[in-house]
Amino acid sequence: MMTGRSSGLTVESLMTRSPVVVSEDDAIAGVAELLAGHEISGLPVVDSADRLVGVISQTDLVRLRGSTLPWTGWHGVMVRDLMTKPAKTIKGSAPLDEAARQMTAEHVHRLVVVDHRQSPIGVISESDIVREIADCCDDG
Amino acid sequence: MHPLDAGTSTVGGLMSPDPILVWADTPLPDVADLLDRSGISGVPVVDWSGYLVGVVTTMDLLRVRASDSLWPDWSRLSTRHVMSQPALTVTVDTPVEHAARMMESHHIHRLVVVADDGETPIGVLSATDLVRAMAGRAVDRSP
Repeated sequence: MMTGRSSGLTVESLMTRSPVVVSEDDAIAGVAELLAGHEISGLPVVDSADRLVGVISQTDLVRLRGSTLPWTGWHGVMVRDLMTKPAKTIKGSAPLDEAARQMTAEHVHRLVVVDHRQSPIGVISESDIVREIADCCDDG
Repeated sequence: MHPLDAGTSTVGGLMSPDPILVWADTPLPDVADLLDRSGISGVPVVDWSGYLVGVVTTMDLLRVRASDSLWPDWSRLSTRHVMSQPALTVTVDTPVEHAARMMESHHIHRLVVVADDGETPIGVLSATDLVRAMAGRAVDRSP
């Protein structure tokens, strides 16, 4: 029987590189299309200088869906109005179990990796870690 | 119709029917494989009678991965050890706005849709289902 163990993998070895990002000035309707079309649960949000300023996720859209704002009022909602900020970040060199600890402690489903200019260069999500768990501990 | 004009719909029109289920006794490595292969982030958990007893999610698995005391026992843990319980439920007649508010207030990403007995899972309404509908990509579930 295999037991759980540290895989020695780092965040940058499993993260999605060059992630899709949205601008804080984008309309929410387009973000819903992006999330549904790419089947992803959240995206980094950048300012006009491509610096990370937040994350927009399914959770934010669910909050909008449950709001008392009339449907017709949603068309004018911008990403900046709804996003969660600041975005939670992690170093690319961090081990995976640290990413897991940070996600569970901060109740987030993804962490963003940024370069020295604060531009997003990667995203590590829950599903990336579940894949690592599934691969590393196969009994098969 | 504008994509965001989804109107006053109910859960029955947006849920994913016939959900994948796991037993409370299902080993966690099997749950990890299932979630990884199916690309979903959580599934209802049932007992041997088929009654809903909880939900197990990717976050529950991460909690084990993040724990120095639990992770060494990974292969010996079962769903019952880590699942969230009780599961929050809705019915097909629940308004979507109400379901969205439940998800938001409880910080969860899915609700289990139960039959009239209140205990048998017949579907799952996830945040993904809501976003897909908001994007105008709602799948037509009619035969």
